[in-house]
Amino acid sequence: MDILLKALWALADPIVILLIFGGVTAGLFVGAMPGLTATMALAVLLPFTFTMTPLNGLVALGAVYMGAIYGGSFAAILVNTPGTPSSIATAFEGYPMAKQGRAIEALSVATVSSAVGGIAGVLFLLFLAPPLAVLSIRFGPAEFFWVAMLGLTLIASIAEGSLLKGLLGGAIGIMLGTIGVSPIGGESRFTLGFPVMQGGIEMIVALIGLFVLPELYNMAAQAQASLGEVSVDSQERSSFWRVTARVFAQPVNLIRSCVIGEIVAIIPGAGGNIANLLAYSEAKRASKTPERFGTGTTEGLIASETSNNVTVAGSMVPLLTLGIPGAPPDAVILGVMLLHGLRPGIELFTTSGVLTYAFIFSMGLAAIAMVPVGLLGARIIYRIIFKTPYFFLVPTIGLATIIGTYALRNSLTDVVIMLVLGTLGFLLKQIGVMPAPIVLGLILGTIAEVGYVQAVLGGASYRFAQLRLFENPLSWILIAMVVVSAAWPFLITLYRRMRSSGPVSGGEK
Amino acid sequence: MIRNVNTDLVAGSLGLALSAGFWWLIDPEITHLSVVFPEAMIAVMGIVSALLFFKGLSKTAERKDIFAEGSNVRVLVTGIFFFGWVAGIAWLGFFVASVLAMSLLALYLAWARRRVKPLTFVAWVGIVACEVAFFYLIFIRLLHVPLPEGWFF
Repeated sequence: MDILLKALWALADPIVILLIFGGVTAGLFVGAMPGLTATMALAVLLPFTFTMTPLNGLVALGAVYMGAIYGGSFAAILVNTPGTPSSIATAFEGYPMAKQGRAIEALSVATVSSAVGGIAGVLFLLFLAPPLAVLSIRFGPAEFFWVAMLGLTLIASIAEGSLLKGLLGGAIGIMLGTIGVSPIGGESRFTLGFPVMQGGIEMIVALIGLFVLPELYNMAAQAQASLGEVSVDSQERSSFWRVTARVFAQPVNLIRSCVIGEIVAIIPGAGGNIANLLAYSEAKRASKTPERFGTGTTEGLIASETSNNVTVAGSMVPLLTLGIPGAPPDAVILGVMLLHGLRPGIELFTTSGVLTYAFIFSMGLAAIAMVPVGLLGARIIYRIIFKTPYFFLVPTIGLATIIGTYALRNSLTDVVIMLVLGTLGFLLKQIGVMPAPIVLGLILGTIAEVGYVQAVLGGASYRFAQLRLFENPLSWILIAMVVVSAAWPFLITLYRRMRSSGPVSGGEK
Repeated sequence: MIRNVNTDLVAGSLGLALSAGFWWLIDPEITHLSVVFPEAMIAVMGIVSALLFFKGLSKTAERKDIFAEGSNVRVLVTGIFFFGWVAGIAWLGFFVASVLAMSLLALYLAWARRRVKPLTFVAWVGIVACEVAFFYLIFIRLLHVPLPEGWFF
């Protein structure tokens, strides 16, 4: 208790408060720009933290991380471009809302949901770190494979229109992910003999191309920006208190999204990019009006933004307890901790307890700081984008995507790949193969391949090496979830048919 | 121009072509470990594509108007602009190529709605140059990303 009070007192320093607000603001702008990731923001900030005290350095990193994940929602809502992979599902609902003149409302809902998710993640970290850490180390290659398979069943939820076209999109994404050097065998595949292709297709490059380019082509075709003017009615609905009331009016959605976000967060290598899609899919599955998803519902938006912000503090569970970074940005934070002589483990919560708890609390404060920063930033950024004529908006977004893509690996080849994929994405969209399943396949394909091949290698001494995939109880649970998730649309259809045929047969009697 | 298309048939054919293409690109000397997963996925893609293809031949095939919104010429020219922009970056450098490409693209897109006077265009070039300089300085100075250099810088 004494440690907790001292930790809270440490945050009373005005410099710390300034770092939190500054960090969230900087993170928001980085996250809002397609191509600039939270990892990149933290890596850039890293040298500046060398001269800071350990607490100030960690607070700044935590605030930037929180702001960057939240900032991804801005681009997703305003230009249908997930600023970070964590806000893919945000675009599904946020952008239709923006087109209907409800941009500020969508941004406000995203802000409040993100703050709730951020605080929930901190609470998970504070109270459930030890048991969650034990669970996180039970995930082996087989479990990773099943997690990826579970993720792929989401295609049924996010495929707009035809399930078969969604599956085709997912398969295309998986195959794009196999281009380059094999993660296990180490041999080149599908590179067409070009050495530059050995690095494969970076997921964010595909994400930018597949989401941004089709939108830019649409704007050019129609000679207008697709953002609607905010209506008076929507402005009234965007007030902080009304939005907060609406977000908290969905407690089950909030709790479910928080739990999904936390479970995904503790799995090393998975993060907000998977959590937001899973939470969105589950929100749709549980909704009484699933047919409204994709047309601008707050349910999906809340699920996505809550879950991805839970992962920020949530992914610190394996980091602080076991030294395993739950997501790539955590590796940067681990580096700063080690630089200051802080070793993950029990000592971090005892000997360095004040510092550790102060860092955890600061992330909670950063989540709260997102509300004023986000609500103000939302209005400013909306006005800038809305007032900019489309003939300036298209080249400006083009510039941001080109420079953002280039900066990922300092590679012009990546920019060309982004343009090619974006143009193909535009053509595929015309025939009903949407970008979301392709990106999902790209994200999960690599995880599935590594998990599968490692598990099979581990089972080399068995008569059937694949049996290794079915060995552990945790795998069984995941397999059951995969089966239920895959069969769910058919079960629901069957149930509805049975219900609709009920009164008719009753009437006949 | 006929725009109403059997999208199931087109998507199925495209998927089958992609499956065949990926299958053909598998190096026969590659080890089993590196190819087991792609092979399985090619098979999945082939099956899904075949189902789509046969659905396209049935009465339940989905038909849709494609390329039906706005000007397709503008889409094509915008695409050419983007690819030309990147080619220009490799040749002229990031700054010069971006100012040129953005100014000309803005002029082309604006032309769809209004006539642009020469002086207005000159002002636009100035605005675009400031915008590109802002990004250029952030990436060069703050993020230490070495942007491509060309004829000038």
